Amino acid sequence: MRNLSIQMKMIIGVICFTLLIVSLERYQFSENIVEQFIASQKSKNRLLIDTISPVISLNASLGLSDANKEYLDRIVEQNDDILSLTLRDNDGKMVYSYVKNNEVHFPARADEIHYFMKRIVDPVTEEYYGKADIYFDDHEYQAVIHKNRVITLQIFIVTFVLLIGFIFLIKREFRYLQKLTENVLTYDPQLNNFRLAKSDRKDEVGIIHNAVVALVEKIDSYAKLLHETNHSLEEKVALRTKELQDANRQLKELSVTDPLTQLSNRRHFETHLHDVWLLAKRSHLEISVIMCDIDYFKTVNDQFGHLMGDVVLKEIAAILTASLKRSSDFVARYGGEEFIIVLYDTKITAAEELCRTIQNRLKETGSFEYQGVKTEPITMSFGISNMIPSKNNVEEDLIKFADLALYKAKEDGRNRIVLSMD
Amino acid sequence: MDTIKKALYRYFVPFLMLYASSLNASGYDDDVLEIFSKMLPRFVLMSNQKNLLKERLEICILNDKIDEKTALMLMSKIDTNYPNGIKNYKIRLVEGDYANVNVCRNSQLIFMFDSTDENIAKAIRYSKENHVLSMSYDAKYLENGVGASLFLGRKVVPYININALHKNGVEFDNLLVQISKIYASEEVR
Repeated sequence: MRNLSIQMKMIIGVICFTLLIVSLERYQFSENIVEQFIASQKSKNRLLIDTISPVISLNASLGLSDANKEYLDRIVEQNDDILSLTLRDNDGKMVYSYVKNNEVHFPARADEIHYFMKRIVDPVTEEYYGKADIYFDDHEYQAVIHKNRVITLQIFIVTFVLLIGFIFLIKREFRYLQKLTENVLTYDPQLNNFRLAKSDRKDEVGIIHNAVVALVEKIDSYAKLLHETNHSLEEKVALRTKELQDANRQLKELSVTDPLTQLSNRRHFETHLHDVWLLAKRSHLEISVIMCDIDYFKTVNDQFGHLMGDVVLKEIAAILTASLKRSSDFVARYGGEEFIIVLYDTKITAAEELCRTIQNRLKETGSFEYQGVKTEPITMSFGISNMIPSKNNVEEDLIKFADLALYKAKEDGRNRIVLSMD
Repeated sequence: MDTIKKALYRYFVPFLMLYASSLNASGYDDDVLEIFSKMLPRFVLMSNQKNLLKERLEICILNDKIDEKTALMLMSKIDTNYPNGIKNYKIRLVEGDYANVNVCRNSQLIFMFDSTDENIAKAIRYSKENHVLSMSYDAKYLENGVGASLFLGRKVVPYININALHKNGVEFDNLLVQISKIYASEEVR
């Protein structure tokens, strides 16, 4: 029952209710009609017999048998519904007898509708004279019953037709609502595919329809607003994302870049060396590492101040960067006035050649100037290590050997290039 | 023997025929008399004459001398039909000729056999003066003012002169009126 649609529930409810009401009404009405008819028929029959019995008795008491016969003949002639009328005297002797059409099927019900027996009493002496038996046909009763049935049938047919009309009406109204429902279900605010316009109807369906249309219009309006807001938000998010990405990139650059020289810092160097080490190990290629240090840099700081030292560091970083030829070549500030260069797939001789190039550029540069003050010509010491990565060595070995070579260059009097032989 | 037979045919048979005709000289019908014998006491009880009754009802029969036997025959029939009276009333029958109408002074009904118009008028006048119901054997006297008689047509029914009854101050029960033929005088017709 819960799964039945409201439409079906309404139809079933109305049909049941209507049939119940019509049936009850018809039943009650029929009962009343039949009861009234029976009462009327009884009254009529009783009136007839009450009318004729004194006349019969008086005629009989006066010995007017012919008058009685003629009177009774007139009575049966005037009352077409009399099937049989018999009059017997006190001794049971038949005094008068009438049987309609000589072939009578007396009704089974011997009630006052179909049968009457009247004792005939002398109106003067009140002595019992005899009795009259009258049978009435039930044509009128049957006609009333038949007519009542026909009327009942007609009422049911009319009710049925009206119900069919009602069902069609309900279905049509619900089809309208169903169409509205389908449009609402397939409605997509982004596609704006709601195609129903406002209705001119003033009934509940029209009110619901217009309410839904108004709701859809509001949804459309809010959807547009939401779309615009989303678009704006997306632009803002994209802008923010770009800013964030830039900030991240800057942060990343800051995290891997030495702020003074703009070279990679030591952490970035270690990461880079690890990646290059693994790549070279897989490719069985050699790596050269140059560790270099500014000679007498402490003296520069002490003599010209740290600002001058910073200028020197930046200028040398620029020279180192400019000296690199390949994109795979990598230079980083290792710490203080120490720099480190990683050369992938580079022989030690090529690395030595690079060191000489750097020395030459330093020579060409000569002294460094800050606010009109010039330093003495700056030189650098270089320690070079070279290694093909394998399971027998580790990346720290490259740094260690380069550092040892640099230490030797320093030991040997600076402005030198020392190759690690291991 | 032949002489005796001849004498019988010549004298006795005519005598018998004459006697028989004298018995039925007025032409009264026995069946009609039978009906009247049943009718008369009931007519009293079905009229306002019954109000005059105490223990008995009295019917006065007027006739000419020639109808005396018929009158007695009628009385005999009444006695036969009502040996114990009717209802709770004894029936007293009085018979007299028109010259002695006073015999009817205690009667509730005067029944008239055929007679001269004068006698009939006399009886009618008497009944009118005493507010007594009058009936006649012959319906022709209704024209003279008799209250009731018998209609002898295709069927036999009481014949009532409503105007005469009204003048006599006599009223009949409705039921009796209902089964009766109502007399309409020549003037009315």
